[in-house]
Amino acid sequence: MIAETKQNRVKSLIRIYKEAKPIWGWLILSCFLCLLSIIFTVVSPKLLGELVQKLYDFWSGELVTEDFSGMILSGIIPLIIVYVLLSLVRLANMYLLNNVVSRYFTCNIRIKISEKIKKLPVKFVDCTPVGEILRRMTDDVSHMGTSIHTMIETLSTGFLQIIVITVMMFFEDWRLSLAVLVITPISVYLSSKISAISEKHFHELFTEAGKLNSIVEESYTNYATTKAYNWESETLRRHEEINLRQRNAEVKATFISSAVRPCIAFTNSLAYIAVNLLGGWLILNEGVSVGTIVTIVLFAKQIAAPLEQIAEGLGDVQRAITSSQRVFALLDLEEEEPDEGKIDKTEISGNVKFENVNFSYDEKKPLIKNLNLDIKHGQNVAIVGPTGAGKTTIVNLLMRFYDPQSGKISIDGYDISEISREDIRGLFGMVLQDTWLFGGTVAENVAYGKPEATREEIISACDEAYCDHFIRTLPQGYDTVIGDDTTNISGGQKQLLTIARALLANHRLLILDEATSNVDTRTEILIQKAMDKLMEGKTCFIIAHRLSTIVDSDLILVINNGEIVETGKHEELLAKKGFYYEIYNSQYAV
Amino acid sequence: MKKIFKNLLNYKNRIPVALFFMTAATVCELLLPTIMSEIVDKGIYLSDMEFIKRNCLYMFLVSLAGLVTVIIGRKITAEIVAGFCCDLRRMVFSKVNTMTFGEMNELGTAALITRSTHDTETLGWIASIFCGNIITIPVLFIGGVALSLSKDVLLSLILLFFVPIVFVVVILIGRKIEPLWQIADEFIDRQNDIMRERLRGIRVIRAFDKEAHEHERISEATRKMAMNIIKSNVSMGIIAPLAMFLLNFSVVLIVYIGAFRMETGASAVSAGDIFAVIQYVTLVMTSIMNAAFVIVMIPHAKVAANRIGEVVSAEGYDDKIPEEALEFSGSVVFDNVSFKYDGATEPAVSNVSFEIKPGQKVSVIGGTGSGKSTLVSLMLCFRMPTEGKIIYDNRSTDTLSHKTVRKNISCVLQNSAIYSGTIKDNILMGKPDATDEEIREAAEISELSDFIEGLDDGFDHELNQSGKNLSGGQRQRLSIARAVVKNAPIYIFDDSFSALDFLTESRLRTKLSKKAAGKTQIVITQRVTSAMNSDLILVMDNGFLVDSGKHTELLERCKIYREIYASQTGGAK
Repeated sequence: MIAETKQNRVKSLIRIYKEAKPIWGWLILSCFLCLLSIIFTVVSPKLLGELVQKLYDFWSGELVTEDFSGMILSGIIPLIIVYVLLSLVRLANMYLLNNVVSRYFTCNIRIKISEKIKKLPVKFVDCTPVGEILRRMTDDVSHMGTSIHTMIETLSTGFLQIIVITVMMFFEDWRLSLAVLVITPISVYLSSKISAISEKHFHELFTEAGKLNSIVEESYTNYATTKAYNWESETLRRHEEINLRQRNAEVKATFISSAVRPCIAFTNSLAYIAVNLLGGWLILNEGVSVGTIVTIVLFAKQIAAPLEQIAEGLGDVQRAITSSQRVFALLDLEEEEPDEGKIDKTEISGNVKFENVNFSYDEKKPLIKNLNLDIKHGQNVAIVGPTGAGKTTIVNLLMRFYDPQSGKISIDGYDISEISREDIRGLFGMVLQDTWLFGGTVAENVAYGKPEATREEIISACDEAYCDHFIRTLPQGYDTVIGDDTTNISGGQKQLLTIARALLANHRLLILDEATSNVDTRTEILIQKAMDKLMEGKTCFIIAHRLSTIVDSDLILVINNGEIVETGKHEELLAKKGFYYEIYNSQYAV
Repeated sequence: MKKIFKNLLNYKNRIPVALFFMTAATVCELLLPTIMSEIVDKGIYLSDMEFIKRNCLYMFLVSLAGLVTVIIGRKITAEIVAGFCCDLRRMVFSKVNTMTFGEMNELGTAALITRSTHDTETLGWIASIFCGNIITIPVLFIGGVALSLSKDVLLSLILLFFVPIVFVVVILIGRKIEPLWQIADEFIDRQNDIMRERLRGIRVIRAFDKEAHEHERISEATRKMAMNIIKSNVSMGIIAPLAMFLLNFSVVLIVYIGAFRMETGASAVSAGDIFAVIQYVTLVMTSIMNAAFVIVMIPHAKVAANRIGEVVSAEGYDDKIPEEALEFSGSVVFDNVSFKYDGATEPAVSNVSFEIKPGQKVSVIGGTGSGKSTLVSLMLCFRMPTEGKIIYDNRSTDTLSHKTVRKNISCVLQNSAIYSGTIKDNILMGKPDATDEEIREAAEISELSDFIEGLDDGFDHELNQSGKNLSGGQRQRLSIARAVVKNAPIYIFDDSFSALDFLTESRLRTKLSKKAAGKTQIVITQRVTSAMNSDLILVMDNGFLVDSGKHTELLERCKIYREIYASQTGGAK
């Protein structure tokens, strides 16, 4: 599981900022464009105001001119230029933000996560639900991206606008400016308070929605059982209970967040009223010019928009922080220790030795206790025992998916903990009960362990694994696209393909987790034959389900509760009348 | 579509109230700028303190009224939207609950899940955007146009000339965005599929040292997705600056034409009116911009609504026969039963006849696709035979309520179904009024006791969605415990021991047979060793019942049975 670190918000913000280091230059450019657009936004009403003033003057007869429309036209041209520039700057900034910020955050961070998975221990993948990782990679990263995008766009423009307006106001009259500015912190405080409350309900809403989704998923996948137990009304009740909770949270969240804007608008109205009353008084008693007051009043009107923007932007900051904390938690996970040791594959013959190996997944429950094994090359070792006894654990240790807490495992005398994981894993071929095929053609899947294999080699491997025939019956033969969820080939045929894959890769050591379920009889016989061919002359570890392998193998390890309770050949073990005897007979006792 | 929006009728009393408050709030919003400019024009310019005070009071009252009405309006709107979404989710979910297995299969579980979650969410989201704007857009638009028309008709026409241009731009961009979204969605799916595949196959991938290769595949999908998303965002982003430019250009035109008319004296217009019209342009354009975003959403909403519509329009199953308090004796008779799936060319089960007597232990054996599981579906009335009859105690299933039949069967289906909740909740599902003693006994029989005792919270241990925090074997045993506590006259186990090792299976089945003494047990299996000791073994192949009898008889006369036996035991014993 990924631990949720509740970091402090400021730290998270700094982290986001650091994470964006490669695009700092672009971000600065973007801020510059924002500044330009603000300047244009401030300049344009001034130009327009002058024009309108001329209209007023001409109308009242104060302005007398021969060519009035010509004069207006000459005033209009700079205005149009400013408007065009304003639109262009905004376009450019929008383009920049999308291409730099969105690309960086949505694309690069996702690729970073994928890169990270590469370096994480198998243990992490074993203990973390796939949905959990995917959600971080998709939803959280996209929240992060959009929130940061709007954060830059609205927050930075908002703040810059307020600064520009404030400076310009102070040039006019400081007392009035103060009256306007008093309202700013109040607005920001108010809106951040409301946002925080609504954020709490949004959080609740997302949690409930997640729960509801999992109820839906569960109900649909368990559809048949629900019906078989006449459980429909209970399922409906469970759904409805959370459905209503989600509704209540949604009402609160959307209502409260929608109250932010009106509240700010109201406080701004109050500021406007205050400025007008104070302005009127100043004109009458202090002799301040009408023009000054009008300018400030107009600024007071303009300051409302950026404030509302900031209020909304604050909600985005919240979301960006929550999502990025989840993403960073994944990116900060401890990686596998790097290892360098090299081994020459061709020299290995396949002698495997376990010396005093101790291992457990969970410190409280020791699993493998003081295991000693000495396996000669070419031997077939069958591992038998009840579920949960630790059969697959031996495989995990051999291939260094996990490392033992103490003791030594060696192959031909090389201590495997001193050799790189890649090289160790490169020694083993694997056929697992849980067949794994990736989305690609049949040929690509077979050649997975040997990408440079020629078509002839692939075909001959498939022929040896008894799958050439069925592959040829597929619509595009070896070029048919298959995947994990493919339905046009059966479970048994998938198994044959993984055997062909192992045959082609031709490793010195083999690990087989035999599959017996979901296979029809004829395929079963083929699989068995193919397995036999694959095992020829190799050291094999077989997690045995089938009686025939147990009977024929050179060494049987009987595992119970992580300990090897018995070892030996089939007949010897039967003669002992111990645990193996019990297991072996239980098959016929059903 | 219609059915979806019918849900709005639940709010027919509240909708007008919400509309009223939102209209009032928008009117206040429209009034404010007028009062604001009044204060400046007549108060500040003329230094009329009395006027300023009076109008500031008006402004305060209008602002306050605006605040109150908008908050009430938003509150009611939020209730309506959330309620609508809640009803929609309930509607889809309960519809799926009554679907027949045929309908369920046709749409597929994955598709139904997206429809019930993602699509309802999309529709809800669009509904909220829509409701937020439904009043403000027309009121601002009509108000703005009306006010500017009252000032000057010709200048207003300039404004009205630009409105359709903006709309055309929006619609053109909307069309361009639609396919980009679709492609981006495809690549999101691709990225997730590969990631899922990669995480599942992590051992094989690492064994073949292929992490870099998988990483490259994911990166490629991610890049393509990002490219499409960025393209669509850029297209969307063009709307705002472009519309702003058109708006500003119309303002410039208004000023110039106004000035020209003033100069020539023909149909002269006052400077104040020109200024007013300029202000109204802003209002109208705001409403148009909002409308533009709603319009861009419409195709999205349509897709979601159509997909939900597919679910809602399913006929479903209506159990017309009343449930009866019958208790079956345990006899099951198949009388020449055939079943063909919709659209299939070959029947899944052909002319199957057999008779199971109360208390018999029966096994059904056969390879994949032999029709074993279809027999289970037929016995549980998940599917009805296309030909022939299934008879429980002289009653054919078509004269019985499905509930009556299912009440009499304790079953464990192929994919062990676990529900979130405690272990106890899951067992109780079999018998809601079971005592703690009964629950403990069921757990003991199912070989779960050791596991449960090892947990800190025992039977109250919380399980995740579908029991994902349990191993396959634990899930299977928990499903068995549920069937045991139900202890109905007929037990059906559909491949329910596959995740258990021989030893556990044998212990479990010995205890089970003791508990279920006198009850009929039907075990569907692939393992010949699970079937060997039954009173009756049915051998299925290709939908046909090829032979039935005891182990020794079948070994002697049935070729298929012999093959299965030989392949699984290596001919031993």
